[in-house]
Amino acid sequence: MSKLSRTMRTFCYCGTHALAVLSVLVGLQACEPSRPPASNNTGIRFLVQGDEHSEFARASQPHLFEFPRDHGAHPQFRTEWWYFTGNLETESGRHFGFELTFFRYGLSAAIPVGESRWRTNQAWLAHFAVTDTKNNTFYAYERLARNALGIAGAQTDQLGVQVENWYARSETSNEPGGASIALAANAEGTAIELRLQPQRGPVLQGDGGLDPKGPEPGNASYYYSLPRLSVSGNISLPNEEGLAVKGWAWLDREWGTSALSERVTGWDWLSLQLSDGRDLMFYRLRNDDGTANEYSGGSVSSADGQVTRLSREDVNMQIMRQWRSPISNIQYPVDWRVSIESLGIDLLVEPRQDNQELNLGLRYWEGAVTASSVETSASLTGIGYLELAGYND
Amino acid sequence: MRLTLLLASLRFYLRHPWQASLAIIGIALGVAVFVGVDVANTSAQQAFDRSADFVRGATTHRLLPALADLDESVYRDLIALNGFTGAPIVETNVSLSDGTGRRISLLGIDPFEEAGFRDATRVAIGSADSMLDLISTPSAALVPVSLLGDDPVLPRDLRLRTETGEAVLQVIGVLPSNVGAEATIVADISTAQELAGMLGRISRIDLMLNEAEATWLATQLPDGTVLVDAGNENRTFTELSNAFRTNIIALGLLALAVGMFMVYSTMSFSILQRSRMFAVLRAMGTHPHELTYSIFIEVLIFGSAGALLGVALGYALARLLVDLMLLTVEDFAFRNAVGISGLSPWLLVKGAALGIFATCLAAIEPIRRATRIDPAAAMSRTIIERSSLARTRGSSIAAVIVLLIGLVLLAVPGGNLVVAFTGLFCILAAAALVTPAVSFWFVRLLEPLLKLASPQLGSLAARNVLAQRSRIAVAGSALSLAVATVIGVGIMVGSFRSSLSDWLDSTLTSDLYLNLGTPTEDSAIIDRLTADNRVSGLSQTRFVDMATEYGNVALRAFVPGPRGWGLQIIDAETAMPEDQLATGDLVAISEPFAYRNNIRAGERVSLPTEAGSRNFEVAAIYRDYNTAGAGILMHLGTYRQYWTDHAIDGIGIELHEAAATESFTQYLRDSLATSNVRITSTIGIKAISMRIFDRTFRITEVLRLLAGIVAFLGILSALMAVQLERQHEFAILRSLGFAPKTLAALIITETGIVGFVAGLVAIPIGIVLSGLLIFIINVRSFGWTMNMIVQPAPLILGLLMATLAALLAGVIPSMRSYRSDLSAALHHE
Amino acid sequence: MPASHIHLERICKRYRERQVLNEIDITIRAGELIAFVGRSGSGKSTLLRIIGALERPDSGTLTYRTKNIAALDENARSMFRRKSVGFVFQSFNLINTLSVAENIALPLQLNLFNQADIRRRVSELLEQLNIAQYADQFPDELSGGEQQRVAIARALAHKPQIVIADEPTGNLDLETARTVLSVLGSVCREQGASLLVATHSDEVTGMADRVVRIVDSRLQTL
Repeated sequence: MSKLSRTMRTFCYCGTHALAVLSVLVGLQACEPSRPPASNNTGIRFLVQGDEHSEFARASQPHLFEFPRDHGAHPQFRTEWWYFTGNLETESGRHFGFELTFFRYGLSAAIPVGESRWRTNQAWLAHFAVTDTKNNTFYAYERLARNALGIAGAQTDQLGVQVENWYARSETSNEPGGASIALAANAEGTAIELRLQPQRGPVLQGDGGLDPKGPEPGNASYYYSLPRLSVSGNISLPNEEGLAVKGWAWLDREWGTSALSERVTGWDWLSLQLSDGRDLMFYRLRNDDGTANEYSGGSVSSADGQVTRLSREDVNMQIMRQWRSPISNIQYPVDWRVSIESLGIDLLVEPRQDNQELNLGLRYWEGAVTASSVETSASLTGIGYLELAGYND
Repeated sequence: MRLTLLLASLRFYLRHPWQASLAIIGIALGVAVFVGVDVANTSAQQAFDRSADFVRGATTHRLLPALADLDESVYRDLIALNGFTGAPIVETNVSLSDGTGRRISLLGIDPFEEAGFRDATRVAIGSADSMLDLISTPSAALVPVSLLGDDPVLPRDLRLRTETGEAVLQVIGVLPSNVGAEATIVADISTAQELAGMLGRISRIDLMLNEAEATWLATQLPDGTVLVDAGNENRTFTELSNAFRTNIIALGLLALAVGMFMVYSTMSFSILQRSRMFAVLRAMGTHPHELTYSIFIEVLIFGSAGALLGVALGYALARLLVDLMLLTVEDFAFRNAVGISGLSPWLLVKGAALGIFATCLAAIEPIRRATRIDPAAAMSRTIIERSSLARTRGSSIAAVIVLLIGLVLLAVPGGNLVVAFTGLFCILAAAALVTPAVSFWFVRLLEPLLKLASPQLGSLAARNVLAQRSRIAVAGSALSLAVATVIGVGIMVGSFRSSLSDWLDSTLTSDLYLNLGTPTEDSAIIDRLTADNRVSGLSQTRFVDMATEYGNVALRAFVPGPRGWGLQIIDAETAMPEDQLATGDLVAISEPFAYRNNIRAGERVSLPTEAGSRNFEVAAIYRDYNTAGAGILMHLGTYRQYWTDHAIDGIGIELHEAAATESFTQYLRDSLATSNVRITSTIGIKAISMRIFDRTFRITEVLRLLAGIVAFLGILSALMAVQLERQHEFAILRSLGFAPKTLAALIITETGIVGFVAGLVAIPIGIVLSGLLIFIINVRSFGWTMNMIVQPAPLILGLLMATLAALLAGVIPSMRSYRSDLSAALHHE
Repeated sequence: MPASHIHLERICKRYRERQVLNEIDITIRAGELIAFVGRSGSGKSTLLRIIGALERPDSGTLTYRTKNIAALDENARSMFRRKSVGFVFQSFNLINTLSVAENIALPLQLNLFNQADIRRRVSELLEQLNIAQYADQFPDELSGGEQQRVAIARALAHKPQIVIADEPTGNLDLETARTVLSVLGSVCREQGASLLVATHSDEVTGMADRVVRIVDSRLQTL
């Protein structure tokens, strides 16, 4: 998905300057959700012209992906993230959803000169959310840190990212599929401690992993997913400790130095692990008139590694129900009908619970969903995550 | 019927407008002083809270080094990797290279971690852009507006002298001016570390912890670190400023009490004047409660008018008081722009309600007297003031009871200041109750003297005063009380001042003091001074601000010079505790520290040494008037035994010839021109200290003056009322052949007697009051004792003030005696 | 002749060492005018104060109709004075901050008359005592005789059964005193009130139904 664009987009709402990007993250400057996005797009133009940041590398060439190296960080690009989402269940079938994301942001291409070990050109933001379906409760936290002193940082040769005591790192594993991933996060009594085992190889999104965000050359990102990670571990809530859980997770990885089109006001991103073994990812970039932008895209991959790239025309997404957040008073389209005629997919996507809005420095809705066939005769189902961003007005 | 009575009262006051106005002015002034003090205090409190918020933000705890600084890895390992919310801080001082050399503190922060504290008004966070630029631009800084001067262009360079030498900062933004406290430069933590020469070190970590987290963290602390509750950290300071405010509030209440006396006196007098009317009404069958109701409404009207006027005046006064308080508060280490708090309805209502309540309270007795007027008196030709004699006995009994209550309250252990003040007020009230009897006894004593002075008038004047006693008594007491306050506070301030002066004389043993600016282990200066033949001896000091379980403590490690330690010992185990300090592991603690923590000589204090916490025996408790409060003194040798710190930051120089101080200072100044060293002479320190002292007590002086003014108006109103009511009597005297001049002399002599006697009675009360202030209130407020010294000046001043006030009160009636229409006055019944 | 309505029996009163009244017995009939005479300090004022319930006797009973006034508490005595007694004082004792009309209205207000009745009664009295032209003036603007007329109007306003006048003419010249007395006497008779006057004046004794002298703290009826 276009999380790169997504982040950029949000950045652009709030800033008039490229560096204002982090103001949202830092939360130093009130981001006004009610501000009409179209009125404040100077940031986009600035980024598109992008001369100030010409020192950063750009995703203009096809990339030869190499693992585990590409699981690690690419600090020569300005933005990068590791985006874990997943559905978990206890033995008795109690459902939890989780999201753990790590964003890296380059403040400048070069590291400032100085002897202090606090010197850095990288900043980190992490989000951690847990959905407790049984109690209709949602927990969300964020962490901000500088890339210094071992407070936050990433490895460049393999998977290993850390923001304070939240981390995702590669661990050796005897299971098929290679190294497993250890995930841990803990905030105010909400905690996960999970081991993720890839059941499938990486799926390269876009054109062999190069995913365009606009017509300009280099306005693109490198994007791949680990769509099926089997999960086992523990989950804790402020008043319930160490519940053993199992389930499925999804990792999205993206990096680049790009920007969104002026017309794009937000996006709806969906990942589904389907009952027939296929995995679906589609992001719908939303124009200011509500239509899907031409740079929307996604893929369907099958167990045998076959990937079908999806364009805006391939997928029909129809809003079935809206939900208004009592906290932000923002209305989100939470129920969708997703149809891909050519692949025989016609699904109704519904959230496990409506209450999955993250009210952090950034405000968006991201939550666990289920999918069921629209035709009652069909038996295709799925589980996954839906993200709804840019609904701030 | 009720309306008719009210109408009668209203017309009474319309006929005697000065009486109504004096009652209203009395209560208005009392309320004004109280409201002024209250508003000023509230403003100061708000400013303090703001300032504390600024310093503390949402901080619940601080992780501090016992000394110097922390290893930065403590932040990562203990805070970040355990997921605690904490902000690392590097703090250093720099001086501007703009010719002024002004010193300013530089705060190094991590903008990301700082953001976790964003809910509170914390560090100077300008725009988000500039915070990010702070990280990515080396040497970027945000500065207060005051540093920019007239030129608003940014970015620009700022030249500084730092611990590591000359440096240039790039000013990329301006700190919001409301960020309070002292001017501070904010930079990224990395920049600050490099400027301060603190690579790998940080000054402290601010934390937001819940109880469980704090408890857990306390068990994980590395040696040489202390976890301090941010709420308690400023406790000493809060206690000090609370004590200071309580003192001021007490003075405000005293002003209100004097205002009450004025109401009491006016009401008593107006009721006395109308006693025939009340008697007739009673004869006609009016019930006492009907009279009570009617007079109560009167009082309520006075109270409301006075209170409203007082609230308005009070706000005006508050401005003045806030300015004065700011001077003081600055000396109490809290620097902030204090503004008058908004017109809070609560303060208004409180002031008005208190004023009305005080008026009603003051009127209870006069009202009661009105209702007790014998209806049969209506049939008498004159209404006898027979109650006054009976009351003398009653008030003596009341005085004894109130005195006992006061003594009990003062003896209550636990040191609560409010209780102590209540006790003090009781004692004053008891004094006020016996004042009339004592005063008239004085007048009788004076009579023969007066007769001797002026055979014609003297005796007559004295007898007239005695004859008017029930009308004068209350106003006289009020005057005595107010003058006693002036005397008492005067003696207290004087005693304090002279004790402070003594203390400075004995503590400042050296002739010159060198403040080395930065602690140094370099002995070059010491060697040079030792070799100088003008120098007879040196003392060395290491000053450390140490975080302990008692809060922050100013630790002074000291090597005395030949003139010794210069301690004023208050409590010690042995005769020569200084020897114990020099030879053993013992410490001395300051008096306020000992008082607050209830530690006696011979007991132990626990200090965090580098090898963990250790108990040190207290050899002595010494007098210390430093407002900072908690102080610990030990020998430098002892200090170095437990802390690996070989620096010193102060040197005291003892010269062979004290007269050479000035030339030696000049010599030092020339030879140390380039260094950070500051040279101060003992005389200079003393002068500054005394100046700070005088500034601190300026507000006390003002409040004293205000109480005095209220009392002056009180005696003026009462005496004028009495004299004006005697127009008929004066007319008779005139008709008997008294010249206007003689009559005027008689009137002035009478009021003069009242004032002089009130002043005389005020002297012993004032001395008792000063004793209470010195030995109880001050100890409980600040933990300070002092030597009580009764100087004649405040006593004479008080006596003069009382006499002058009373003499002035006689002027208008005596002027009237010149132009009064004899026949009208005689005709008028 | 109406029946006796005030009855004093064995009334005694001492002030410190001095026996002022000793075993006084007297019965006063309704509408009777009694003059009390005697030297200054003989106790005539004290006796009037006792009858007017301003003061309690040390012993003895004072019966008004059926009630022993001497035994009542202060509240009840206030009510008795308010309803049944009118006072005329030597020094007039008018309230200087109330107008003439307001002074006269005072006892009516105390007895909770309604406004219309008060107005009617006050103007009636103003007419009767020939002081209508002073209604809105204040007492201290009037002459002694005028003031005493106002005082009489006030004493009689609520139609008391007992009117007590202590030296009512003591502050007046002979001519004025005569007029005032005749007005007082005639109005009392008109209203059927008993009028008890302490006096030195022969005028009064001439008008009185009975003259009672107090000698050595005992009564002598002349």
